[in-house]
Amino acid sequence: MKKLKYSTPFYSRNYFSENLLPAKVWAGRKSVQQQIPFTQHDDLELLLIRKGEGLLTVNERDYPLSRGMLFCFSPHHFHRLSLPKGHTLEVSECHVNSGVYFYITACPYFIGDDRTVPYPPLLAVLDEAHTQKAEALMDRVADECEKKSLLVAENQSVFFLLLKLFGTLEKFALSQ
Amino acid sequence: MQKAPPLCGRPDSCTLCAADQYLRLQHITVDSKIPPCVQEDSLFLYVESGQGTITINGVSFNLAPGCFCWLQSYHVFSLESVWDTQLQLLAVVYDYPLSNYMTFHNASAQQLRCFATALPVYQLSGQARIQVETLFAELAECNDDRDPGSSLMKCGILGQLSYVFFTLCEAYCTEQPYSPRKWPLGWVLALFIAFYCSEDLDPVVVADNFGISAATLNRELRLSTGMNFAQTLNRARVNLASGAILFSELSFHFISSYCGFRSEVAFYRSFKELRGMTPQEYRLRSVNAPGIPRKTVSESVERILFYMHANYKEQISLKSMAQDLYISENIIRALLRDHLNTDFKTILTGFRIRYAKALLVVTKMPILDISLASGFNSERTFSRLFHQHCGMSPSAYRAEIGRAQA
Repeated sequence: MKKLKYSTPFYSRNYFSENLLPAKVWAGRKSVQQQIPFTQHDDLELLLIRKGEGLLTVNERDYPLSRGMLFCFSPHHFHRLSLPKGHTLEVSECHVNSGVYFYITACPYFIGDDRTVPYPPLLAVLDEAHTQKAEALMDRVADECEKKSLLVAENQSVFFLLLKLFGTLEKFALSQ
Repeated sequence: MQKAPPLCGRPDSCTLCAADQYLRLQHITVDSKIPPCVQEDSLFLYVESGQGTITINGVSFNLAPGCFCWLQSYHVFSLESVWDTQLQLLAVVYDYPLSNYMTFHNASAQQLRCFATALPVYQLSGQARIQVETLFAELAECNDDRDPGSSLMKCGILGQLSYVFFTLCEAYCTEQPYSPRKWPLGWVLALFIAFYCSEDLDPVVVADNFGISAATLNRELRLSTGMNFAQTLNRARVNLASGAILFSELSFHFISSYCGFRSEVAFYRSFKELRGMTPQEYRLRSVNAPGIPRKTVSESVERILFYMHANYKEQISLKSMAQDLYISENIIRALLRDHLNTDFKTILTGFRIRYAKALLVVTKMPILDISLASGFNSERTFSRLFHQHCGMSPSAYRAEIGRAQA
C-alpha cells in the first residue's frame, strides 16, 4: 500500500501562513509610585487598574483612574500616568504583539466592525465580580508567560486566557 | 471498557449539534436510553450526576459523576443510564471551524496521538475536576449572552476545556507508552477512515492494510458504527468539507478535490444527502445561523491587514503590496471594501498619522525626520494629510500637547 499523507478530521486549512503568527505576549504586575512620562510602543497593551487612583492621559484625553478599569492601548497610542504625591497605584499589564489582536478578531464567532486597530483606546469599567475575574486572568497570563515560551503559537493556554480578557473588554467596553 | 452489542441499522443524526446550539451549554437528562446517533461537530460531555454507560463505536465506557468526554464527528455513540435512575449531563458543541481556529497552524504530534491512541472518556478527580467544573460554571453564567464579547469569552472557555482534555490524554499516553489498548477492529477502522478520508481510499486496499477481506471490513464497520465503508467515508469527507466551506475564498471545486471526492458532482450529491442542503446553502446558513452567527474567514483579508501593519513605516503602495502578496489590486480593493468597508489609503494614512503623532509627542525629532520615519514621501504630504486628520499642523500639535503637559 502506498504511503498515505497524514491528515486529520480536525483540520481543514491553515488560518494564516506560518510567518504571520508567532506573536509574542508578555505580562506582569507592578506598583507605580511616581509619575511616568509619555511613552509609546509597537505592542498592544492591556492595562488593569487593581488599586489606587491617579490620572492617565492617552492621546490628548485624560482618564481619572479607579479600581476595575481595563484599558487596551493600540500600537503607538502615547500615554502618561500622573499620580498624587505619596500615592501608589497597583496595575497589571499585558503586552501583546498586534498579531494577537488581528488573530483574535479573526475568530469565526467574533463579529465586530473594526478590524483595523481602533483609534481611541478601548476602555471597560468592570464591576467588582468581573474585576476579580480579570485580576485572576491577568495573574494567570503572567504565570504562564513565566513558565513557558512567550510565543502564543507554542503556548496555547495563554491564548485562551487572552481570548477571555479581550472578550471581557469587548463586552463591557464603553462607547466613546 | 467492554465490547458492546452490535448495532442494528444506521445511527440517527444527533440534535445536540443543531445549528442554533453552537456555543451554548445544554443540559441533558437521560432517563433510559438514547439510541445510537452521530453528530457533525465535536462535542464535550460532562456527567453531573447519575450512573450509566456510553457506547462509542462499539466500545462501552462507564459513566459516573465527574466523567469528561470529547466526542468527535466519527464517533457513533449511544447513552444509557443505570435502570431506574437519571443521568444528568452537560453538553457543549466545539465545532470544527472553531477548533481549527484554535490550533493555529497544524496539529502537534501530541494532539494527533491523543486522537489516535488515547481514550475519549476520562474519569476526573482532584484538580482537573475542579478546573472543568469551574469552566462549565463560567459557561453557564454567560450562556444567554449573544454579544461579540461574550462569544469571545465562550471561545476561550472552550479552548481551555480542550486544553484540559489534551493534558489528560498526554498523561494517559505517558502512563502506558508501549502497550496500546486492544481496540476492536471496527473502532480502528472508523478512526483510520476519518484520518485518511482525503486520500483516494479503496475498500480492498484498506482491508489489505489490516490483513482482512473487504467483506470483513464492511461487517466490522457495520457492527460498531452501523454504517458500511462507503457511508463512513462519505460522512468523514463531508465533515471535512463543512469546515473548509467557512473559508470564503475556497472554491467548491477545490474543496471537493481537497476532501478526496472524485468529482464535484459526487461532492454535491454526498453533501446534499447528508446535510439536506447544498454547499452554497450551508455557507449562507453558517453566516446567518439562528443561534450565534458565525462569519466566514477570508485569509486574504488577514494577510492584507498583517502586511499593512507590518510595513506601513516603509514606502508601500497598493501596487507593491499586490506584488508582494500575489493578489491583484482590484481584488484587494474589493476585499477591503466588502470586509472592512474602507480602502487602502485610509487604513495606511490612519496607521501612519498615529505613529507620527506618537513620535511628535514622545520624541524631539524634527518634523522632516518624523514624516520620513512614518512612511510619508515628503514633509509637505505629511503636513497636508496631518492637517486633514487633526485640523492643525504637526508643529502646532506638538506645541499644544507640550503646553498641556507643562
